[in-house]
Amino acid sequence: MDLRSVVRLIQPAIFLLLIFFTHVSAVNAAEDQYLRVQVTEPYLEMYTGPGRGFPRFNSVERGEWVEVISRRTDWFEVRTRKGKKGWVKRAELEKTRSMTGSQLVFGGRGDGDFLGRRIELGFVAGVLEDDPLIGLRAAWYLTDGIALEGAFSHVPGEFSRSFIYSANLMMQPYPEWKYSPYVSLGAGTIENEPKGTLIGVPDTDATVWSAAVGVRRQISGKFMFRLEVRDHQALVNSFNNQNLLEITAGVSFFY
Amino acid sequence: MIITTIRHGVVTLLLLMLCSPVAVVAAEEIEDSLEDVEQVVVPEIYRRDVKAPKIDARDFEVTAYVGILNMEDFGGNAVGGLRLAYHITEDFFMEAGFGASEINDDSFRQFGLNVFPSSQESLTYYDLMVGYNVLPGEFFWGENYSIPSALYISAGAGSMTFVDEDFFSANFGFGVRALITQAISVHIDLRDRVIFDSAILGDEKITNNLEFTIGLGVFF
Repeated sequence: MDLRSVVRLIQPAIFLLLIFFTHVSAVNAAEDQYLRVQVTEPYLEMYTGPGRGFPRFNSVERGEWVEVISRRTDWFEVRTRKGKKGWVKRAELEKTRSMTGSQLVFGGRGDGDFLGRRIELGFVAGVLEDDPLIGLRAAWYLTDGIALEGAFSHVPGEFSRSFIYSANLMMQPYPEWKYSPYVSLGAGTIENEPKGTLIGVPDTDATVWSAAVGVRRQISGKFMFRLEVRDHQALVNSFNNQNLLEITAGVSFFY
Repeated sequence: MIITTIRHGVVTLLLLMLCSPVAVVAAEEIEDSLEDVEQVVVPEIYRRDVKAPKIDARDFEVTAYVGILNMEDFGGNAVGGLRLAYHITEDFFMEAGFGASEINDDSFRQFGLNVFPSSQESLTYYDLMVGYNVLPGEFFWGENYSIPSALYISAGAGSMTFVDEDFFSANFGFGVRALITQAISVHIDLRDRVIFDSAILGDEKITNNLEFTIGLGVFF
């Protein structure tokens, strides 16, 4: 393939990139307008970095205005009228007042509130019968107590590798409890590939139904620990069901 | 005398009871008539739609890294990979990574033993980790520059694949992150990928596979 044909091939990509960059720069230009807030407490303390360990180097007096430039976890970068930049804790920034005079609550990303969140993403690790299991979990909360969850698990077993794809309906009757219990029902498929060294063993796919009980515990803010016991019924063929017990522990966060 | 007072009281009470519905009706009539009157002066005030500008949050970090992966019994090889991290709070982050390297059995072939089908086999792995910033702080460059940094520990699980076989691994590690600018970070990481049931050389045993990497990250 000569250079000309390569250029011809990537021409549409270059064109798309140009559109993208134009769009990005237009958006950035529009976002130069920052949120302005007025200090209502006696002082607003500014840190040199986004963390409690950084030194405090400046304080803004009551009545002064600052601009909120960016955010990192629960820390906000602000700029004073004199152009000084520093970081402010979320709880402190929420004591300020906006241009409309209203008090601000910084929800959305980085919100420390456990309830009212809609998307949960997490990792789990555990065992499926005697084999180890690693998994990804993503849940969408319809209400505080009911969620739809997509689960993907990888089982690097001794004689085969398996993948489980499952859609689960999760019910958490007491979302406000410190240790919040839940039940879950799932349906999906299990794919089993025997290891290359085993000759003549075919790949098998089977439908799986599952039921689970588990518990969630908030560690910090929107960060959680979860523990689950799930019983899978794999419909291997029309005569046989295989019972597979899965025990997992994991961490997840609300986004 | 007393009886008259009581009688007066009862009459007043009865009158009050009779009048109260009338009073309510009267009040409603006044309100109705007020609604019929058009507003004489319409103030020319337009509602300002104040929309708070979105604050740019940078809690995701993608890191490209290179280094050395030393597989127990087989020696070291270059490794490269990508990690995607989400910083949940200032203390905790979660991270998913994918890497590729090679594994060779040259040291066995010297003695005429072939462990793998070919001397150099490709190796890939992925891992899901949780990290905790144990020692957040700053590095100082001369008198004028300070670089935000953190020493973190991490633990998680993953899987390594080589010679068409998957091996579950438990991962432990620690690393240093330094923020060169607000969006760019530099990482130095040391990780142990522990395989519990490695039966490559016959008997099952636990192997410690150490990985040392340097990485460049971008926050977005």
